[in-house]
Amino acid sequence: MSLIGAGLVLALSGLIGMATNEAETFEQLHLTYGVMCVLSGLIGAAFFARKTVVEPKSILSAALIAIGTFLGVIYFAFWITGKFGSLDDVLLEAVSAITTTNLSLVNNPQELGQGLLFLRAATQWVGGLGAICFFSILLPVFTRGRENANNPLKAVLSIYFAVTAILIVAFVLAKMSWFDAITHSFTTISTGGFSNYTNGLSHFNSASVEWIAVAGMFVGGIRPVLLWWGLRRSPVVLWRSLEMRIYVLVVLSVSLILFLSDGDGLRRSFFSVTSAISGTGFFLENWAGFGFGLQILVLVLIATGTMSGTAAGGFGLTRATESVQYIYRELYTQLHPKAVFKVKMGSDVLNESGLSQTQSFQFFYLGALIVGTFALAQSGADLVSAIGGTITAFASMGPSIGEFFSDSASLAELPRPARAVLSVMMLVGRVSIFPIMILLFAFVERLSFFRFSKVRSRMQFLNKLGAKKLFNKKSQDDNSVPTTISQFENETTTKTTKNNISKEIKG
Amino acid sequence: MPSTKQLHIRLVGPAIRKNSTTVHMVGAGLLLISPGILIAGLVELLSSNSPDALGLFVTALITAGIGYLFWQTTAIKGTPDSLSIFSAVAWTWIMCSLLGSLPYILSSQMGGWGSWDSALFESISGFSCTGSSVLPDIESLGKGMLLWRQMTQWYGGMGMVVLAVSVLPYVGVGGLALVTAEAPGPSTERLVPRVRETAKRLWTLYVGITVLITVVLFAVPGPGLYDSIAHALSTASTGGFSVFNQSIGHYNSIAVELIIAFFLVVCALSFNLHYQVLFSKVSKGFLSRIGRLKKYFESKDQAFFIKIFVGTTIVVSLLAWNSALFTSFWNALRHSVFNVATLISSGGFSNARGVGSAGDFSLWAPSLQIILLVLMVMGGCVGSTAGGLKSYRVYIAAGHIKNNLKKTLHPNLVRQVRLGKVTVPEEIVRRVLGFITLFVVILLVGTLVLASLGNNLPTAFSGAVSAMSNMGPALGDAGPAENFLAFSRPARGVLMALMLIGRLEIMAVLFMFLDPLRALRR
Repeated sequence: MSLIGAGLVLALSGLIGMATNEAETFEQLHLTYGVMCVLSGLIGAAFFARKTVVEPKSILSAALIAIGTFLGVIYFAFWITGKFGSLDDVLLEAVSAITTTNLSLVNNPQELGQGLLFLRAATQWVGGLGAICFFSILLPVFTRGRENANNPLKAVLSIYFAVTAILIVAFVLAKMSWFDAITHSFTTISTGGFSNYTNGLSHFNSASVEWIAVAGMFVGGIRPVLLWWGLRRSPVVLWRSLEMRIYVLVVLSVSLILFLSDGDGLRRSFFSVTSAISGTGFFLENWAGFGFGLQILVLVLIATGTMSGTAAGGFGLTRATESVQYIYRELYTQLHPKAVFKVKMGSDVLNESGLSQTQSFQFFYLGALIVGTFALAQSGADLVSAIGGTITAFASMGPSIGEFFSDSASLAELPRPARAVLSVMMLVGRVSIFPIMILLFAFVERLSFFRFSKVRSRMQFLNKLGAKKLFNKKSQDDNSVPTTISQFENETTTKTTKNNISKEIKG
Repeated sequence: MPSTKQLHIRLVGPAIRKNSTTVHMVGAGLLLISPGILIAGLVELLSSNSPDALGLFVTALITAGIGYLFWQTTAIKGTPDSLSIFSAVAWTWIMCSLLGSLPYILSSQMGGWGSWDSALFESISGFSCTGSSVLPDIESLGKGMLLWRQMTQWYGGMGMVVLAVSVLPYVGVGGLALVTAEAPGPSTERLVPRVRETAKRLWTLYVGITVLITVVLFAVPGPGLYDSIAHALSTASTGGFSVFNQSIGHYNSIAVELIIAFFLVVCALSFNLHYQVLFSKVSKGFLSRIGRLKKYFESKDQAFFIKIFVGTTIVVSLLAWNSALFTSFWNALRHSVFNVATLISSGGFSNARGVGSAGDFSLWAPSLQIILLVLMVMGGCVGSTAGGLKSYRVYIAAGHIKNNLKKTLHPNLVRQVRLGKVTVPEEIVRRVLGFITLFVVILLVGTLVLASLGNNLPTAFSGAVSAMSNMGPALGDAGPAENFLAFSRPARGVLMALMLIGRLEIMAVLFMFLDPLRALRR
C-alpha cells in the first residue's frame, strides 16, 4: 500500500515538475521511479492479498514494514535530487516528511522548485493518512476499539479527502495561488507543517489565510471516525463526546491565556495553540517573545497532543483524560476505601485492562522522553534544546524552544549525531512508542534463550530442536500434553488471538 | 514509679478535653521540638559569639507553651478516621515549620520580620529534609542557630509524628495510621506488634545511626566535634544542610566525602530492614548476623536501589571522564560517587568548592544533568529518610509495564506484579501508579508556575524536582554553588508547598483542609 502511495506521489510530483518550466533531470527520474513503485506495489498487493491471517505482532510488523518502505522510497527520491545535502540531512528531511513533522533543514523552500515542493507536501499528506489509518484502524484491533464504525476506512478516507478539498477551496478563496493552496492544505490537514516559504503562512500576511489554517489544524486534531459519526448522525454526537469537549476547552482556554498574557492578538494566539496541540508546527513567529511560563505551557500542549486516532502526535488528550480520572479515583478511594468507582469516557465505562495499559503507556512516554533527552544532550545539544527537541520530535511538531529549534537555519547548526537522534525519535514517536516497545519485548523474549536464568524457555527451545528425550523425560510418555506452563500459554494464546482477530475482521 | 498512664492522668488531670486529633498531634509535635530549640539556645549561649540566644530561648518557651496548651485541652477519642489523620500530620508539620522559623526571624542576621518568608523557607526546607537554602552567607550565623538549622532536618528525617507516637504515653488507637501517613512509603511494617514500640525502635535506631556518624566523622581528620554532630544530624536525615557555605567541599577531604556518601546511602535504605539485620534474633552468633546482610538483596526494591546506585555511579563517572571539568578518571569517580549518593538519597550536600569547580553538578554536561534529574525523582527506599518517588514504586511500576507488554503479546496470560516472592495486590499497584502519575502532574504544574514567575526552563524544572523530592540544590541558576535566591518571593512560596507535598507524599497535604472544614460545618 505504502509503495503505491509513495509511487503515486512521486509520479505526480514528477509530472508537476515537468509541467513547470524549470525541468530538471531528476523530475523525469521521479516520474519513472514513481511509476515503477506503483507497479511493484500493485504486484506486491496482488501477491499478498490472499494472506488473511492476522496476529497482533504481524499487524505491527506490517505497519513497520510499510513505514520503512515509504521512508525508503521517499529517502531515495529526495536523495537523487541532490538538493538536500548529505545523506544524513536527506534522512532528516525524509523522516520529517513522512512523520508529518516540520523539522526541515531547507532554509529557502522557494528554491526547490514546484515539483519538489509538491513532493514534500504530498509526502506529509500521505504520511498523515497512513498514521490515521494505523491509529484508528490497525492499532485498535489489538488494544481496544471505541466507535465501531462499520467501515472505518471509508470514514477516514472520506473525511480526509473532503476536508482537504474544502481547505483547498477556502485557501483559494483567500487569494492563494492554486499551487500554494493545494500544498498548504495538504500539510495542514495532515498536521505536517511544511510550507513553501521560509516564514510559513506569515508569508501571505493575510488574516483569512491564518484563520483557515487554524480551522484546518483544529479539524486535523479531531479523530476522523468521530467526525464522520458527527456528520452522519448529528453534531450532538460530537458534543456528547468527552474528548471533543475537553479538546475544545483546552484550545479555548490556552488561547485565551496566551491572548491575555501575551497581547499578540487573538488570531495569533489561536494559531499558536492549534499549531502546537495538533503538532502541525507551522512557523510560530511569536514563540521567542513568550515568557518562560508560556513557553513551557506551549511545550506541554505539544507533548499532550490531541485525540488518539489522528495524525497529530503526542501523548494524546484521550489518554491524558483517562490519567486524570485515574488519579481522581485514587484520591477518592483513599478517602472512601470501600467506594466502587468506574472511570468513564463520556458514557462508556472503561475497563481495567485498558486503563492499566494507558498507565503503562504513560510511563513509556515519560521514559522515552527521558531517554531521548539524554541521547540528544549526549550528542551535543544544550539542556533546553534537548528537552524541547525531544518533545517536539516525539510529538511530530517541529519548532520548539531552545536555540536549535527556532528555524531551519539554526537547526543546521545542531551537531550531526543529534540530527540522527532526532530522526529516530520522530519515527518512534510516529508509531507512538508502545508498538515499538511490544516488538522489542517480543524480540527480547526470543532472546531469553541466551539468559541462563530462564531455564524454562531454554528447555522449550531445545524441545523444538527435538532434544525432548534428553532433557524432559516426562514428555516421553505423552507428547500431545504441553510439558511446561509457558508452552501451554503460548499454544493457547496464539490460537485464541487468531480466532478473535479473524472474527473481528470478518464481522 | 507510676505507670505512664497514671503519670499522664496526674499531669493532665481529668480536664474536659475536646476530641481533636489534629490539635492534639500539633501540640505533641510542638512539645517535642521545644527541647531541640532549648539545646540550640544553650549552645548559642555557651559559644564565644552568641547574638541569638535570647531569640532561641523565647522561641523554645513559646513553642512549649503553645504545644502544652494544645495538647492539654484536646484528646484523641476513639479511632480517628483517615481525614483527621491526614490533617493531623499535615498541620503538625506546618505548625512545627512556622514556629521553627521564629528563631530565624528573631535573629539579628536574617533581616527580621520583613523577611519572614525567607525564614519560613529555611524552616520548611529544614523540616522536610530538603536542604535548599536562601541564606547567602551561612557562616555568619551563630553556632546555636546553625545547630537548630541542622536539628530541624534531624527532626524531619524520621518525622515528628513518629516521634510523638513513640514518646507520648497515649496517642490512641490511630497510631499506626498516623505513622503510615507520615512515614515515607505506602506501607509501614510493624517490627513488633505494638505500633508505639515500633516507632520507638525506629527512633532509637535513628539516634544510634546519628551517633555512629558523629563518631566516624570525628575520627577522621578535618571536622571537629561540633561539625561532626552538625553534619551527622543532616546526614542521618538525608537533609543536606551544612554549617559551611561550601558544604562538604569545605573540608576538601576524600575521607569525609566517602563517609558522608556511605551513610547517605545507608540512610536511604529502609530503617526497618536495618533493624531486622541488626537486632533480630540470631541463633548462631556473629557470623550468621553477617549472613543477614543478604536481606538487603532479598528485598527486591532495596536491591534495585543499590543496583541503580552502583550502575549510575559507573555510568556517570565514565561519561564525566570525557569532560574538561575533571582532571583525571579518579577525580571524576570521586565527584560522581559523592554526587550520585547525595542525589539518589535526596541528601543535597555539595562538594563544590566555589563557583566553577568540578563538584558543581550544574556545570556538568547536559546529558549527565538529565541522569541526575532522574535520580532525584527516583529517590531512596521505602521506610528511609530519603525523598522522591522511592525505588519501591519505580520497581512496581516497571513490573506493571513488563506485565502489560506480556499481556499484549499473550492476551490470555494471567500475571501479577511481584516483589521478590510476594505478589503485590492489584490495589497497591493501582495506588502506586496513581501516585506516580500524581507526582508527575504536580511536578509539571509546579514547573509551569515557577516558569511563569520568571525562571528559565532548567531552573524551574529542576527546582520543582528538587523541592518535590526533597533534594536540595537544583540545576541552572540554583545549583550547588548558588542558593535559592534565584527564585522570586512568590516562587519560593510555591517551592515551600512542593517541599511539604513531597515530604508527606502528597495525600496528607491535599486533604489537610477537609477535616477543619468538616469541623467548622458542625
